[in-house]
Amino acid sequence: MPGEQVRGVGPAARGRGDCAPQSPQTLRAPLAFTAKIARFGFSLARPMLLLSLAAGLYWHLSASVRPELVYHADGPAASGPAAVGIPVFLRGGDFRAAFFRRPGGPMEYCAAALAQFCYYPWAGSAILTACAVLLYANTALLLRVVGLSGGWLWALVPALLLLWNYNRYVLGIDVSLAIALNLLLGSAYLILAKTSSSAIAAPLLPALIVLAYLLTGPSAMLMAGVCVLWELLVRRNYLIAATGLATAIALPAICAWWLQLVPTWDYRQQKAICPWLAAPDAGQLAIYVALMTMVLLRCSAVAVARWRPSVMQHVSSAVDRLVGWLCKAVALCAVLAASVAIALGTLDRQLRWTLQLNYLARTEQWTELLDCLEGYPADLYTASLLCDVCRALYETGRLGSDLFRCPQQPTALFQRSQEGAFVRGSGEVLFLLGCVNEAEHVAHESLEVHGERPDILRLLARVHLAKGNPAAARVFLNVLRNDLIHGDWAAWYLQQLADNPADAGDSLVQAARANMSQADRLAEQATDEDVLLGLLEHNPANRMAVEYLLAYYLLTRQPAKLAQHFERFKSLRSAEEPHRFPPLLAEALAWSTVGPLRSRPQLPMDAVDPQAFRQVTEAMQLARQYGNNHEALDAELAQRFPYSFSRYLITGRSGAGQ
Amino acid sequence: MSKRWTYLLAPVGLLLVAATAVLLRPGADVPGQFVAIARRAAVEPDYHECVIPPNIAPLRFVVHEPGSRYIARLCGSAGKPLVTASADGAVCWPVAQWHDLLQANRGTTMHVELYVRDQGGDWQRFDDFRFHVAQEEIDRYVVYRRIRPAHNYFTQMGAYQRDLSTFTETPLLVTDAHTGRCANCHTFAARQPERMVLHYRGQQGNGMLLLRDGKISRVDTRTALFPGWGGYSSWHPDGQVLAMSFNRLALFHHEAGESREVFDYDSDLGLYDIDTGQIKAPLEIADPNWLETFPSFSADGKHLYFVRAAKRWTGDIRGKVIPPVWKEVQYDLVRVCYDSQKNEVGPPETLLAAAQVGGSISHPRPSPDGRVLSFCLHRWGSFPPFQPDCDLYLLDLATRRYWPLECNSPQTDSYHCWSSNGRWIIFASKRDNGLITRLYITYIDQQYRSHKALVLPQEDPRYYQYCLRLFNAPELLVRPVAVPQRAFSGGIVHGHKQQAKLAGPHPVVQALFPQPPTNDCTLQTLYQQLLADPEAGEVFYRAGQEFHQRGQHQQAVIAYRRAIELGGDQPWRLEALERLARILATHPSDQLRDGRQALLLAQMACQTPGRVPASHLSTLAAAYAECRQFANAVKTARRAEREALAAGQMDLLRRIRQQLEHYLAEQPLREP
Repeated sequence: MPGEQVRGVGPAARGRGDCAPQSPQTLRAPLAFTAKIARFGFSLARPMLLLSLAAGLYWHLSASVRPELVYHADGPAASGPAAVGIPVFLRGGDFRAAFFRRPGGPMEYCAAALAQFCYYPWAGSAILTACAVLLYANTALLLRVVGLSGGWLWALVPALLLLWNYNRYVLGIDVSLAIALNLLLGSAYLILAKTSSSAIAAPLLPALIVLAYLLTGPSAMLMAGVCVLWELLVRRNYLIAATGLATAIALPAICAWWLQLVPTWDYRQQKAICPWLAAPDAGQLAIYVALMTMVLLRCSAVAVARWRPSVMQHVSSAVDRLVGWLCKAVALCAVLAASVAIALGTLDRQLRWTLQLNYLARTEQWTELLDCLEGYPADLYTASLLCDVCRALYETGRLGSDLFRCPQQPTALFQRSQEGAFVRGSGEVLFLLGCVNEAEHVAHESLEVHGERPDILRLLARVHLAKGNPAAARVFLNVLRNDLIHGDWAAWYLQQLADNPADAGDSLVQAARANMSQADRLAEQATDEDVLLGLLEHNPANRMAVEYLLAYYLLTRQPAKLAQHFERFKSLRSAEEPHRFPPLLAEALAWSTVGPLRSRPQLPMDAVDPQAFRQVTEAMQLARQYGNNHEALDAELAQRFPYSFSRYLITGRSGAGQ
Repeated sequence: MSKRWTYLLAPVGLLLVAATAVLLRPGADVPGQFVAIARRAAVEPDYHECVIPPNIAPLRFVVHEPGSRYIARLCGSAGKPLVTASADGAVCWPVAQWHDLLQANRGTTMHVELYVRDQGGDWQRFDDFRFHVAQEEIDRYVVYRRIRPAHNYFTQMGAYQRDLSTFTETPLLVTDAHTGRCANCHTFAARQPERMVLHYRGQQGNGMLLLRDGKISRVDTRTALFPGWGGYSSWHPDGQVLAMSFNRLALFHHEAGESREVFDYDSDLGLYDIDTGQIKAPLEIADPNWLETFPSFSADGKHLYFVRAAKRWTGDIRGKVIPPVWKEVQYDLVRVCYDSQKNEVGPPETLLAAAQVGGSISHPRPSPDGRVLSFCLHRWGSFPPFQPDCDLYLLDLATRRYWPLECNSPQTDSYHCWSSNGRWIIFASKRDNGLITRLYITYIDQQYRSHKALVLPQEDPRYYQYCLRLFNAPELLVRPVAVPQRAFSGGIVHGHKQQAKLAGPHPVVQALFPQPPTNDCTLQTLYQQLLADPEAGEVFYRAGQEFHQRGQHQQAVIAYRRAIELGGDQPWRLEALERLARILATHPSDQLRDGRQALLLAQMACQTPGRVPASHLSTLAAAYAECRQFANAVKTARRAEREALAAGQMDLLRRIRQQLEHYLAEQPLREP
């Protein structure tokens, strides 16, 4: 039987001495090569090296990649082509059942659970390192089973590709685990097939493919591919290979169309039927390709050895000549060099910067966020980041002085309605301002677009508490209670609600309740200015609304209106605050006096800043001097009055100059 | 035996032992000694005093009392009591035994004994709670839509079918980015699954899926009648004709209170013949002066019920400017006779006027016995889910007496459906938290009184505590829909699209020409042109001019309105606005006059980039006067006077001066 002829190709079989391939010289050559390396005295060095690599990976992940940045980067936070973020995970039967009803769901469920721990920097790095180690170990096992010489070294290739993915913030825990499990199942099959008859192997392969598909989804094609190649080229058991191939092809279609295990059309099209679309990222795809290539080469070598023994003999002797301590040392050096090169060379520093800014905003480290912003490329500013920056400026009391340190837009303060779903901090800003219904709108859209993320659930709970609907808030908190990281907070909050139902909510809720207007109006008919003025009509002491209103007038280049509402700002200043007004406001007040005499506002004496007036006069002279040469004018203004309102007013630009 | 077999058999043996241990474990029993607590335990959901269908799935619940062990015993006058125990307070009756016990106790009251072991190890027995098992069953299946409480984006929603006697739920259509964003308004013919429609919107376009005897086809319901898509629908009992509404909706938001609001700019009804693919829109149900929606055929098919409100605004058909009167739009309950042989309807008969009930009526649903009709009553508009004061009412069709259902709550109680025996109503309610809609079932007794409603039972008794999906649009079915999910989603993606056609003249043309003109050459030409292209705005404008000149103001208003809706940026649109505003501001008939609308239209007519014509200003002044804003009227008339003088329009100047005298005397203008 063909299957019997190649029994014992693997190292395990060699140990038992029952290795009996059809051409012993041919196959023994590479085996002898492996054995030579094994005997070389690296038995201790190898684990030490691998341990060092794992430790190095952990250090690199925790120091450079920082998985906690990814934890906070769901949805719109990350700019750039890569989809960064971790999946939603909730404890509880209903959430779990949704995963376990579809192929690949169990693995996605486990990966989603593990990914939550990226919240803790040490745990995230440990999990990612463990994934790499698991991938390495299972690859090494498979390569050992198929008898590839130097398998332990080749097995580093997928792990290094994984490192490349980590450096691009494609964590893909689900893909890593799925590949590792499939490699394990593939190895198990190859071992069992070697020691069993075809009668057992024939049903075993489809059964394992089904199991792999149900557990890991389309990644099972890897396991199927390995086993089919092995049966086809090495064991030459065409019937089993055909059975395996048919199972691998038919299974997704059966699950999608007949059993309806896959829930939606999208999933059916992309994940269940087209496995290559399951890993749309090139880095993840490269791991599949690398693994399949290694197995294919090994299987082809065996097939060639059987077909033309002389060719393989020639190749083996050439390889034998090369083998030696020098070769070994060079390989080790190459591995180390590749590891270091990939670790240092492929790290997407720009994306890390973006993620770090987002992380600082989500963890409310406002001063650090503004510090980190220094030198950030102007073309990478997104609506989300601008919203966070404005919030940081407000929280640090620098809205009136540093607003134009970054490239601003008139809509930078917040985004209302459905657009807010893609501006991460917008819902919270609206809530803090007191626009509770707008915050609710944004949060509900975000929930639909991004799923049950902890910050969205938390905001929705607060929104409904502020609106006096604790029953609805409780539903969101109950969901949040099932979050692995924020569950305790939700349970504590629910307890607070149960203990004190009359005065429900924390200080943020109380503040929002005090600020929220009871006057109804159609949101679609109101501008941002109307909204802020409405809030101030209800509560003139709403400091955030005052500062945001003045910032709105700055951003929309309306100094006259700013002057009109300047008293609101003045009345909120406490005695302890410096007498001098923030420079941007003083500048805008000075600009408000430019124009027809009758439209000039009456400015209070203490608001008149002679320096600002001088600056305005100079800026106007420059504008006249340069005429339509906007680029030159902007360059001059950026140099003479950097980050000023004058420059923004005249040229519409802000931030660092060209 | 080889080692391999040992390894294989060992776990199997362990599994068998574990299974035997579970099967042979001692059954839970109520404690012999306990302390009686003189109150009912806090349980969720609360089924106390409910009337339940004898074929409903087990009413599982959670006990919210501190304790380490919970035992519940369900007892009736017949059958062996059911006992269940748990450590976490969840009371989960087994399905088969539950049904046995319920069948044995039809028409009687059952009670649940609750025992809780406290931290000290002592048992407490709370007061029993009771529920009554009705004699009449509820239809076994319900199809509903489940979505998140989103406002604009819908990434995934689905229509699901639930077996009410078990917990089995099967998806009919789950939409996603590929198949569609939205699946809505599923309707069945006579509660049978063989004929069904389901509307969808999304990437594959919008349309209607028509299930007919196991086959699914896609229908594009857009016609010249209305460029929108079909919405609410109702099957004639014979399954041949589908009455459906064509609504032009807009979603907008409030800054305080309930956040969302949905508004109908325009709506009409049509009768879709599923054999011919033709939509018939007789004037009685598609009047351009009215907004008709929510069609519902009576069980005998002889009447078509719907609601309608006067359309009090005119605007661009593509624009979505919210008219200021939106809060004043209230719908009347109306019915027309329906002749299924001729597919014709009779004149509308108002059953309940909005003014009479002090609110807006929506979702009329006649009972299967034809004696009563259920409807929603709320403050305004035709979209009750976002109005917390929406309640369900019944109307006695013989006496016209109406009354609220006893099971209403302070929160929204809306979309409802009768069971085929007329003893149950399933409806959507936000009573739990004011935000997330859940399905409730209420029993309607012989006197048409409703009883305390029970929430749709779920397998996991804690389901509603963390369920963020809302259930709506429940439709009861006597048998399950046998068509698989893939057929529906495949129908959207690959199904052949059938184009619906409008049968007969456009309703606006019908309104303008109740009889085809025979002797009048001008009108004949206009009629022919409008028959050929019912979206030719300029022809409507010319028709309006013609009717205006002939003193047929009713028709002129309809024609101008249609012209304005279709006008876009056409130069004659401003003229149409001005002329329509003039009629609405100065017509002697109270029925036709509408000062607020006239003012809006006149203001729009005056929004020209250059000089405003004196005639337009004169009309604006008349609109101000009609709205009793005489100071503005005088100011505008004087401006018109100057413009007329500057343009040398002496006749107009004279007329304006005459009008000015009216305004100075604080009298609105009336023109024949």
